[in-house]
Amino acid sequence: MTVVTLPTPKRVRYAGFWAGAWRRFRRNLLAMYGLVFVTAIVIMAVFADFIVPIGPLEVDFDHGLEPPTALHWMGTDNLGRDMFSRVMYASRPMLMVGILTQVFSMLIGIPLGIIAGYKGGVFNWVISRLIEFFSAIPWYLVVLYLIMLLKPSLENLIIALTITSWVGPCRVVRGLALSVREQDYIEAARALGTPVWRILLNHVLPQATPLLLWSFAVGIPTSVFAEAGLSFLGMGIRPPDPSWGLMLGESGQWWMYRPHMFVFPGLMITLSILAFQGLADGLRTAIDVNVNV
Amino acid sequence: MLRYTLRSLGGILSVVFLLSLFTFVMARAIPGGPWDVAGNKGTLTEHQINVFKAKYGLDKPVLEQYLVWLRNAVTLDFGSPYMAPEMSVTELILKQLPYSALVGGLAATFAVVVGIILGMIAAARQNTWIDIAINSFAVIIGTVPGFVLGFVLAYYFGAKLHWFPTGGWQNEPKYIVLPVLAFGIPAIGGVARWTRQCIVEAMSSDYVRTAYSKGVRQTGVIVRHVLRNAAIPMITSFLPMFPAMMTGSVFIERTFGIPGLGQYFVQSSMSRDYPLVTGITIFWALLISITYLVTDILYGIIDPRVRLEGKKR
Amino acid sequence: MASKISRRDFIRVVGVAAASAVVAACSPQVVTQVVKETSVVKETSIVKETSVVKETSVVKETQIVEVTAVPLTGPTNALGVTLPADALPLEQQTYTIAMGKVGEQFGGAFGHEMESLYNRAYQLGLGSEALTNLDKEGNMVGIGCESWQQSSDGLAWDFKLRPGLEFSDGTPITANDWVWTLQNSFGKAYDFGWFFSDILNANDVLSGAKPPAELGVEAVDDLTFRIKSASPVPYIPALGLWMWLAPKQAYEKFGDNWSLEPENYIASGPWMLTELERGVQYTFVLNEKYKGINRPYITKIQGRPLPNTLPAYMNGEIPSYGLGIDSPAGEVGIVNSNPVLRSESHPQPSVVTWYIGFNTEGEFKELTDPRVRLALSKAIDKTTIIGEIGHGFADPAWGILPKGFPGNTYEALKEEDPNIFDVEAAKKLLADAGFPDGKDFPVFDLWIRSPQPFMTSLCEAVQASWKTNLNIDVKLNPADHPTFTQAVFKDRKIPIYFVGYSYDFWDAATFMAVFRTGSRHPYSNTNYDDVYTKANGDIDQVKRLAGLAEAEKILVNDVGFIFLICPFSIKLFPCNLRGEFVTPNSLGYSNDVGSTYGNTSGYPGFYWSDSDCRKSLQ
Repeated sequence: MTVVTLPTPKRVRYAGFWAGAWRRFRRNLLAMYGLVFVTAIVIMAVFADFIVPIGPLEVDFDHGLEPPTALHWMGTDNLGRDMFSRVMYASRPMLMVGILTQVFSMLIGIPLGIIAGYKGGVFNWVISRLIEFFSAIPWYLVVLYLIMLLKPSLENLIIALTITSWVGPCRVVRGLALSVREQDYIEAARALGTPVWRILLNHVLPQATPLLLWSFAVGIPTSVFAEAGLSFLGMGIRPPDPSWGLMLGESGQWWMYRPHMFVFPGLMITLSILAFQGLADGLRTAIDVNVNV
Repeated sequence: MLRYTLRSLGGILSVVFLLSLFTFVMARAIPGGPWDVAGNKGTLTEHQINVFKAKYGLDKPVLEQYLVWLRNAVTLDFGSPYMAPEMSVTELILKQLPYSALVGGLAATFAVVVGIILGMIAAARQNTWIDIAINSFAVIIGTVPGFVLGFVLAYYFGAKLHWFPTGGWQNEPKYIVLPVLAFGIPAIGGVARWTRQCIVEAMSSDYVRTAYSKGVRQTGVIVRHVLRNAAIPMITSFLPMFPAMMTGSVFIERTFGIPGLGQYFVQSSMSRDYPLVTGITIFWALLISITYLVTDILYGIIDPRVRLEGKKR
Repeated sequence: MASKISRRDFIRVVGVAAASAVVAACSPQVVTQVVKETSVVKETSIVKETSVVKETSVVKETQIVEVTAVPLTGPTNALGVTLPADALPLEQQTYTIAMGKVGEQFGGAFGHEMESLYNRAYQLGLGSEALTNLDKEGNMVGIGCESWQQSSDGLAWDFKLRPGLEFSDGTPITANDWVWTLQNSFGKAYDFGWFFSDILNANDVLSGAKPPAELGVEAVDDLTFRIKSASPVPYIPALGLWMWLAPKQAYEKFGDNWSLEPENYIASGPWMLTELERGVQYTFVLNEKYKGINRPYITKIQGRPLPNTLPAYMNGEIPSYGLGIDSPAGEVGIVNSNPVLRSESHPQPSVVTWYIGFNTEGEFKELTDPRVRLALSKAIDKTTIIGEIGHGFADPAWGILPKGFPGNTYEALKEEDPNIFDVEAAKKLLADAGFPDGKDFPVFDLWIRSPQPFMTSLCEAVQASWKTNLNIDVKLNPADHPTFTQAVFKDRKIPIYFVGYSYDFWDAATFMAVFRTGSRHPYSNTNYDDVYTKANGDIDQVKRLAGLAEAEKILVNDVGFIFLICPFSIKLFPCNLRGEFVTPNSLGYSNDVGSTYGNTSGYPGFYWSDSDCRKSLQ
């Protein structure tokens, strides 16, 4: 449902642009929540080793399926592993999938988009068909299919998600490059004999930055959802490593009489998606990207 | 219009063709196969694997297999799933689709009805606390994954209150309530926000202002101009929701154990059931492409301003 | 579900569960159950009242509910079996099989059990007659046959088929059908074919090297089915448990998928497929044409996509649930704290033994000294350690055959010297061998195959025992399955290892053959080989078992192995499930309906009774 209309490239960016953006961002409550939560999660992921008292893989059979206690803040799972610690550690695969997928998508999508848009021709035609192809079929179809081929693991999850999400930034950049190509000043630059790569680097990419930033942010919640969902299906993170989706899937036998088994991972999934969504939303208002969500 | 339709159909067919080639060849290019995952990993001997391959023609070159498959596929014969050899892939899809369609269709209807109502209220009470409340609700609910909500609902209404079964499937109405809610509620968010936006945009458009200035009464304006104009983007957005949701959510089906198409897709991917994976993929791709096409055509009918030839999606 | 599946179950074993109380709880709660029962019956009728009075009196004597004492005055089902008086009406005599965890319920590609054992669309053994089976005591009984006899040279077994049996389409069953069944199955690379490798040419036919016609099976006459082997195989009748008759005419008439299409289904057993809706359900009803002896009380068996979980069991959605050494403590706690669930817990016999093995082939000269091995064995207090680690889900092992397994001499072996815990004697033995107080004894590696928690705990306990009692150190080395197999059994360079063996078929030979020289272990004892081989070839079953017991004794006393633990499971089934099949046998085991003994052929001998004993659960 994401329709991106291109910004008019005439806007003049001045030094105060980012300051204004931050001011607008601050006014967005959801965005601020997102910023705080994501910061907290990142701290949690980085310093998990120092925060949690009990290792996420430490099994204690005498204390399985215990509801939250003073020792186990979120209770224990069926193998007596500390849920709090597992929830903390599970932020790592979440962040890795969420962010790395978008990074790789950018790395693939931006060059392809620029070349397709700027050069045109057969290359443009192929890229356009690819974009159409990947927008036409649901992402999880492709991802599930690729996971089937590659075997479930963190790396393969990132690969599969990248393959489905590079079209986002690619489309953005391609559209921009297409429109920029016809601009007078590009024409002028070309006439002056400036190399193509410099034109692209100096003129096309800067204009794309806010859009790409937003596209980057808006892609994360989808990846987070995908990680949780696929791990839930048993096609993502492999046990015994913790992942919220996996924990949810593993609670399948016990959640009925041990609700803490699904409440905490479920809550974390939802809060994270909301936070990243909030960040993206805030970014949109802040840098005034003209998009309809 | 006709030319556009034909051209789009051609495009769809070429996408589907490429997709089939891709899924077919890729699946077979990766080492291993259905024989070592169908519940007997490592127990089959070389000979048993060869017997399996010979039975399903997997011992032939991939290209030859594909051509045979393509010849049959033209007549909608996608072969038999390895997991259910007594039926064809088409039969299996047609047999399991109703479960997905029922749950997804009801969920989509629920989401659209509730979402439109909420969106209209929000638009009518623009920038009041009601608007803010609805908008916040829509944003938050839109981010809750269906499978998480499924657990909450199943726990509260199933395990605690015993109103509904906690999962599983029998052909009884009570089994459908929680899956529909879990699937439908998160979808409300998007519907409500989009509805509000469409109506607000329509209300602030020039012709509405013109109509007001001409002295047309408010109800008349809303019915004749606002709703009519807001309906176009709404219909074109909400319509594709139906086929998308009716083909099933893998996650909801897994949470509640619904024997729908989504589960079959996961199951067949896990056991590398080539005919079924390919069949379901193509079915989905076809369905979704056709939905977009129909939406585009509808768009043209409702809104003559749109010249389909030039439209970019 | 012989070896492969049970073995996989054990591989899955994860946890050392708590609460021995589940076992301990088994006898007293029967009384509560009956007390509750009486209260129900009083409201209903006089006939039932008398029946229950009988039950109660039996309980007082033996602590066992003898339901067979109930007069048979209930309804009569389609096979002419009259249900006991306390039975629910016929419409409610349905047994539900949980098709499995959500997402795994679609079933496999095959219907008939002789097409595939592992990849099947519905439960094993419903529509087909097996050749033999075990009764609840574990005795071999004929199902498709009446009797069997080994030829004088021992190379053939003749099975006298039960006369008058027919398929549900009216075709009479003959020995040719059995021959065709096996030939067809083996010719199509049957995935369970390895189990029958004792049959003449079975491996060659399975691998495609020989045509199916050369498989060692033949029809001597219409009612005599002969199975041949290359050397005398005493346990061929035990293999008959897993031979299921297939209707040749169905394959010819309806093709390979006949067993997946209810309208084409041809049964030879007591059940008939009437519904198969993939992922949703399957239903078997009584086959009214059935002429055999496997006659159930219940009238319908249905598969439903229900999760195999404790909550589902407690809700009455599924009729059976298992707890084992792998069960989470929390779950065991739930069962223990609930009187009804405790009353529904029934321990099952063990079918696996885990043991420590020594490499006695010479590379580690300390271990070739029998005194050292005996010392190591006597330094372990098995009863205490297993009691601690098994938490009520394991017996200590005294020999290779688990308690309750055919041919076991469990109680007798307990008194053998290596099994007697005696630290002083152990110390002395070690000193005699030249290592007083463990001095100069090398630090050996103890390898553990893909260790699950209970295995690690057990090996740690052994390590601690040796350290404390003998001042000997060993280093635990967990290894994954392939690495372990390669190093321990193929390269044979590991001094001490911990491994398990689980049964393939219901005969002592399943365990004992593995300990022969040149079999899997880095161990050789020609005395054992001789005694075993001689005994095993004996056609006289009594003499054979006595000989095997002698062999086992030799094995135990040579201490090439320290047999440690036999984990078992606890099966829960509802207290209102009654019948002779689910009452305890002479060893005190109450069979689960899923059957630990033999196959589940037919589901006879149990019914749903009119009782509110589970009321407080829901």
